[in-house]
Amino acid sequence: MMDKRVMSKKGNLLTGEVIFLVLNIVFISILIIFVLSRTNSSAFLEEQYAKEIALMIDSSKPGMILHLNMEDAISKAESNSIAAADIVKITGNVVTIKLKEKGQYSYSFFNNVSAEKSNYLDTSNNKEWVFAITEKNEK
Amino acid sequence: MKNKIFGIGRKGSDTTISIYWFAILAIVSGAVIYMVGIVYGQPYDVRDAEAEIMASNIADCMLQNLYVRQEVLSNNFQEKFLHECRLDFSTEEILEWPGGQLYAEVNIYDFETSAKISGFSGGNQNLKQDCALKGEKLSACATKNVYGIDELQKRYKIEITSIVRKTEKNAQ
Repeated sequence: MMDKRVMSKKGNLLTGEVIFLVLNIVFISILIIFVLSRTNSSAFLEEQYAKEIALMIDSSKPGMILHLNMEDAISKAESNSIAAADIVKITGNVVTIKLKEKGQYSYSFFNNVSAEKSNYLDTSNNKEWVFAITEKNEK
Repeated sequence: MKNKIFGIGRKGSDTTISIYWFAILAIVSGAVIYMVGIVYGQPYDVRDAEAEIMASNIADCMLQNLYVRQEVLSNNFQEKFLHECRLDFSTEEILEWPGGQLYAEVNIYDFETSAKISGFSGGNQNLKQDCALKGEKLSACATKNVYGIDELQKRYKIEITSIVRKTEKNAQ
């Protein structure tokens, strides 16, 4: 009779502590997942890289070759079934970044140079994008 | 049945720890979510950097090894300004952008007398009024003064103003 009561008390205590611990872990995990999803989202990376590339091109001069490490964007695009070679597109003076099926982000640069046909993924390491800046051919 | 997880029915320190622990967790997570939302919910504002780069590019265009380019002092440089300084003020088309989003102005003064010798500009000059005001939703302005001489050693002050609007893509 005495043993039964002690067992029951111990069992309740353990269950309570375990649930308390599990709830804490769940709470903190949700918080971490939220922060990571916000800081590493496709939309955020698209905006960041479009603006970064536009600023790089703005400060460049014809003849320059720029290398940009886009490892995180490339892995994000591949996880969203977007080919790495299709991530960056430059049309006229507008840079467009696409890392997900739906949507993309565009930003313009004011430097009247051409990088439209001379930007490509560096296939030797598959994590850098190369921009060869050339003089714009006026019509 | 007593609820031991949330401390209901418990006595003493155990009750206090459980309730306060969850309250602290809720406050900390609320603060983290709020801060992350503020930082990552806002667009990345690059207009100040853009305006600075534009002013530097124009300064490079005005001078050649510290000498003021001769054509810059001529009256017909206005027509050639954007082309010669390699500036393209066209932007991507979005619905909220009816007018031009960029503006650049250059004024050249005699360094000794401060008399204006030449001046030219390009882009949407309505943006100039934003520079007198302050606010996140207004255009970003950058002003740069550079000094140079001509072949006759005459000294000039070149005042460059560059303005970038693009508010909808950089501020909310």
